[in-house]
Amino acid sequence: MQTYTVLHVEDEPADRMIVSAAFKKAAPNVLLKAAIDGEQAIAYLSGQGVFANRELHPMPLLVLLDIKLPRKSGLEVLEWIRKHPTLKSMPVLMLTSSSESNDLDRAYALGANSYLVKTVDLPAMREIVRGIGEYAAIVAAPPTVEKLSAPD
Amino acid sequence: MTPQETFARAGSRAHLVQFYSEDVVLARNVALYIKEGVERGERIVVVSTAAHTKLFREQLRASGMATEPLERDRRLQFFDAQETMDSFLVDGEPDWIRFEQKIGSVIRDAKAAPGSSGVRAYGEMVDLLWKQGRLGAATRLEGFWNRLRRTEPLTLFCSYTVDVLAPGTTSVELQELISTHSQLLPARSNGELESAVNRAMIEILGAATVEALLPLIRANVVARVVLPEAERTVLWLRRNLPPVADKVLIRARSYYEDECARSNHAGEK
Repeated sequence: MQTYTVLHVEDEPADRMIVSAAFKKAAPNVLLKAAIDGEQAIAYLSGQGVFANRELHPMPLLVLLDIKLPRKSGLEVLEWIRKHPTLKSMPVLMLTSSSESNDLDRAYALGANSYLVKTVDLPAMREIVRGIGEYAAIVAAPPTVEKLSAPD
Repeated sequence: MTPQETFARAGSRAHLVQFYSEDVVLARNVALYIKEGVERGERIVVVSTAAHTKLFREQLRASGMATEPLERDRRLQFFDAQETMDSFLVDGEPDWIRFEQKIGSVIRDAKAAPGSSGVRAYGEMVDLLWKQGRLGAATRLEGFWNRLRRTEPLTLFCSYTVDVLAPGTTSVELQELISTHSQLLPARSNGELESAVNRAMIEILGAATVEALLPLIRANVVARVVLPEAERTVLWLRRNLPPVADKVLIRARSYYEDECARSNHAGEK
């Protein structure tokens, strides 16, 4: 089975655990890596320090990014990604408890691909995560030939 | 929810928007919107192009509503979109003070009219700006309407000539247009767009993949706006999978045109 690396940036251990459990159950094709604050996320993506070993810390296909993070906010990390010469087109899905309009507008203005609000509804979370797994597979290998024949 | 149900539920906090590419669809919805307001005893203010004004009057008459007595009593007022907008442009840009003086006074007069239970407005000045490629000016004008509504609550309905399937329309533009409103009406009321987009997605991505993606698409918060399923999916595709979006939307277009032709044909029978 082809696996896809996703970087989950989240400071709350409980939230990391919920997301990790959901991925194990609903998207086993995803290798989930974690960063616990904004600076660590940037270090991971840049391959700095302990993250220099790309066998242990593979470059992710996409990032799941919380907004309210210590050391550097999720919006700052997003801005950094979008300005980075090689990472700028990496998909970034905000996964946050913030439903404030300001955060939403700012995230999209900075180039977020999606904005997802965290849920404690575990079956719903698993469904979303399953979708992220499929999305990662499409990002890794976009369809070149239609699955079915052309329309009549 | 059908447009009729949406118009029936729309209160003074509603700021509805319609993306359309067929005048006939717009005329049908605007006529429903006006009729609903008239039945509620609201005063109706319509700011539209001359061609659309003619079309709306015809559509209202065809649906059994005589417009002449309503217009005579000023329960229904039509204003020319270009002339009205020209009255509050300064150096080509919408000016809040002039807008408030012009539109605010029309709304206040309509509200104060004897027997008025509220005001319902429809406008397409923003579409004139959009068609000139002036998205910033259009969203600023939408902001003026929203600012006015804070002191003069009214139900508002806007329309834009937007084809959501057109390759040149970007997700950023669509999102900017949508985000100043409370609800986007579906392009068509019989689910033609939804059916066309789903069919194209399934053919290009596979049914299992689409089924897995849908909860992710539905969970995505686009703005504080109620969106129809098809438009939500198109926005998500454009923003998250641009190369796939192009393929899906090109194919969806051919299905959509077929579906619309079938619906129009069935409607004529």
